[in-house]
Formats: sequence, C-alpha cells, structure tokens
Amino acid sequence: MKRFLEWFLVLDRRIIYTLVALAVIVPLLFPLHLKIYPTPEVKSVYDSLNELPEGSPVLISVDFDPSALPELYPMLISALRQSFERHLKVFVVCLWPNGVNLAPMAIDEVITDLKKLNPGFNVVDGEDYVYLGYQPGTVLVMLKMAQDIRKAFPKDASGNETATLPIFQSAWKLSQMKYMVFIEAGDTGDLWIVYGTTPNKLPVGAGVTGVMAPQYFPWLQAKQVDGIIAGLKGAAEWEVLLGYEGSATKSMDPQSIVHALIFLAIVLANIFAFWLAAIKRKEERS
Amino acid sequence: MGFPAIILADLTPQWLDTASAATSSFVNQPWMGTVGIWIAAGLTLCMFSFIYKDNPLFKFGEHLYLGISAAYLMCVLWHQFFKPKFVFPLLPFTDPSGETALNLWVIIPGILGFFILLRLVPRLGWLSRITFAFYVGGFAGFMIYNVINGMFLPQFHSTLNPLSFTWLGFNNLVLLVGAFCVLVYFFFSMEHRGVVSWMSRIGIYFLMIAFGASFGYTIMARVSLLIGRMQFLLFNWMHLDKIFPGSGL
Repeated sequence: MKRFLEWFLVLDRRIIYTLVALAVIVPLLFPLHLKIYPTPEVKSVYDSLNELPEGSPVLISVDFDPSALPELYPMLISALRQSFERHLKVFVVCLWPNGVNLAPMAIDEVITDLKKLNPGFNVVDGEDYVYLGYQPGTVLVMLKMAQDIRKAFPKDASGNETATLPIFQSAWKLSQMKYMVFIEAGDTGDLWIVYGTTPNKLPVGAGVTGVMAPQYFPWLQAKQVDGIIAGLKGAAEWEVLLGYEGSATKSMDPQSIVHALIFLAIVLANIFAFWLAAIKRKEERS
Repeated sequence: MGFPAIILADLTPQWLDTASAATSSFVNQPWMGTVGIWIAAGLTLCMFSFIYKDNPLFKFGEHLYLGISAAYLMCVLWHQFFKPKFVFPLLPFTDPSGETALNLWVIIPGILGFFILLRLVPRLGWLSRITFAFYVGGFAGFMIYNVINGMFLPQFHSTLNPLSFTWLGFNNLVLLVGAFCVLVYFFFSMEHRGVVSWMSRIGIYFLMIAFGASFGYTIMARVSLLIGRMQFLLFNWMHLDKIFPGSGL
C-alpha cells in the first residue's frame, strides 16, 4: 500500500494530461447534455439588455485577441445576437489591435444565423449597427468617446465618415448609450470602468476570461458593473438564457467532467498524503 | 527591416494595390480554407508536443506565433494609427482619399516619439526623458482625478454598508472584517503582535480564500482553452462529427 501511495503522490504528469485529454475528448464525441443553470450575475446582463426599449443605443467593446477566442467569442456572439434580436442600435469598438478582425467575423456570423432563423430579418450597416474598428490610446480613446464618439472614430472600419452615419442620431457620446458590454482578455475592462462607464453613469456588463473573473467581483459589489459573464461557463449561461445551443453550451460537458476529475485528484491526493504520513509515523514508532 | 519595408511599400500605392490584389485573389481560393485548417492543426499539435517534453517543433510553433503576432500588431498600428494620424497630416498627397489636410502640429508629438527611439543611441538617450516626463505628467493628471472618482471612492463606499441581523447585514460584516484585516496584514509599520497579529492572521485567511477562488477560475479558463482547441482538432480538422452523431460545433 505504501508503494502505491508513494507512486500516486508523485504521479507522472503525462498520466494526468492523458486523463484530462480523455475527459475532454469523450464528452465532446458523446455529449451528456448536462443541465446549465444561469447565475444571477449573467442573468442581470441578459435582463438589462432585454429591458431596453427597441432602438436603444448599446456599445460593445471587443478587447481580446484570438488567444482568448474559445472563452470570449461565444460571449461576443451572444451580445450581438441579443442586441440584434431586440432591435437595438449596436455600436462595436475594438481597443485591442490583435482583435480588430474578430468583431466583423462575429457580426457576419450572427447576421447569417439570424437570417437562417428568420428570413425577414434585416439589419443595415451604419443604420442599425456600426463597427468602428480599432483606435490606439485606450484611455484617451475612452475620454474622447465621452465627449464625442465621432471624433474618437472619425471613420468606421469600412472607411465611412461616422459624422454621416444615421446610427449616430441615436447616440454620439458615452453618456447617451443605454448599456454597454465589454468583452475583455486584459486590463482594458478596468480602464473602461474607471474612465468610461463610471464617470458617464453608463451601466455595463462585464464579459471576462475565467482568469480575470475574481478581480471583477469587487466592481460588481460596488455596483460599478451590472453583471459578470465569467469565462466559458458564463458564456454558456448566456446562451441558455437566449435559448440556443452555441459552442459554449457544447463545451460545458467536458468542462464539468474535467472539473470533477481535478476535484477528485485533489481530494484523493490529500487523503493519500495524510494516509502515507500516518503509515510513516507508525513505522517510526515500531 | 520590417518597418522600413512597410513604409516603402506604403508610399508606393501602385505596388501595394497590385500586391494586395494578387494576395487576396490567392487567399480567396476555395482550397485555402482547407490549407489554413491543416496549418492551424499542425501548429496546435506542435504546441501540444510540449506536454511530452520540450522539443524543436514546440520551439518552431512558439517562435512563429510570437513573430506573426508582433508583425501583425505592427501592421495594424501602421495602417490604423501611424499613417492616418502622422503620415497623412504631414504629407497629405500620400492619402489616397485626398481628404486629409496639412497639419504641421503633428510634428511635435512626432519629435517626442522620435526621442523615445533615441534610447537606442546611448549618447542621445537622455532626450527620451523629455518624452517620458511629458507622458508621465500628462497621464498622472488624467489618472488622479479619474482613479479617485472612478475606483477609490466607489470601492471605499461599497465596503461601508449598514450592518443588521439579516443575511445581507452578515455579508456586509464579513466584507468589512475581511477588508480591514487584509489592510492590517499589509500594514508593516507596526509589529504584528497581540490583537494586530490575530487580525493579520484573519487577513491571511481571507487572502487564501481569494487566491483559492482565483486558482479555481484559472483552472476553468485553461480547461476552456483546451476544449476550444480540441473542438477545432476533432470537428474542424478531423470532421469526427460526421462519424459521431450528436457531436460537433
């Protein structure tokens, strides 16, 4: 027994990797459809967007790059999907240079999906939504957007003069926006809260990677963010609330199985460590 | 070499137009999607090979990723920032739309930016301090007001909530005790003895719980990334969704 315990406590990491790989691959190939329960933090963002009257201007900031795609892209899809379904005026910006091409990709995907579901669905670029592209300067861009978004982004990503776009009749500065969702892989979200949303009293939902989620709970507690969509789990909850099965929902089976595996490994390792210590104490005594 | 090459290519629009037209007709070929998926799958496997041990395939993938990211970032900054904000206002004839007017004021930030590059020249490196002084001074001015109003005061206010004999009141008490004890732990101007030692110890427990939550979320995030890559390999690359019904993206 002692040899087994010693072997287990210094288990080759490659065995752990193999178990994790199996825990991911098997549920992906044979889905279990485990139930997902939306948390109040995600429901709050969903409800806030749902309660906005048609035509309300909302801002979506896409501040991540392809390295955070599995976690954050489903959130972007959900944010766009809900906004388009609710007929909101959608302003999309990007403050991360490596993520500049992700927003147009997501916009195209959502519009194509919604057109498949409802052939009568139609949104017009520049009128119902606008992608303003990337501007460097992060904080300075936020401060300028508080004064006039058209001056911060003189042209949209397609090269149109923003001053001439009809969508800007609904809002042209941050304080006129009715809601904001930022989707973040770095510290731009903190900057949005400090420089963009709090001074302009703009309610904001925070879509963040799992790594960043704990640092956003103080903002939630201070009511400086309206809700938190934390990692892939948060994205899956949003998809459940929207009533469709996206990539995040499909990822929840392997996510749950791997979590159970890690939990089991931690519990067993601790039990075995105490057990081994007890055996060694007994041996020393005898 | 990359940066001057971009500048040269950019100031000769005919070259660029011809090159970009040729590139896009090549990239838009139907088979390019499949080639892209195979390249991505190969590079993913290169990165996964590190799980076994460090090897040249992993190094190749790592260096390629860093190189492409840096080059991509440089191109985006050049096309979306440096060119429209500096080159066009200074040389309006280079703007293909012809809409940019001459603006000589951009010379001042241009010179300040150039001073930073002089850090590469030891004898003239001191000039970069002028730029940093300007930047730090200006940014501190922006920061102080906004950080106090946007972060410090709301966070301070939200810690001081009314206490009562309800769950909410209990939560508020835990929050207050936690915040206070953690502050005590980081207060090093007093010896941690007696009551201060106890409070500091409670502060450590709160910190440990916070680190545990952070660690749990980090595991979740890393597993999510793994799932994303596995979905790509299993369904986009190997098309196993055609063999296993009910699976797929």
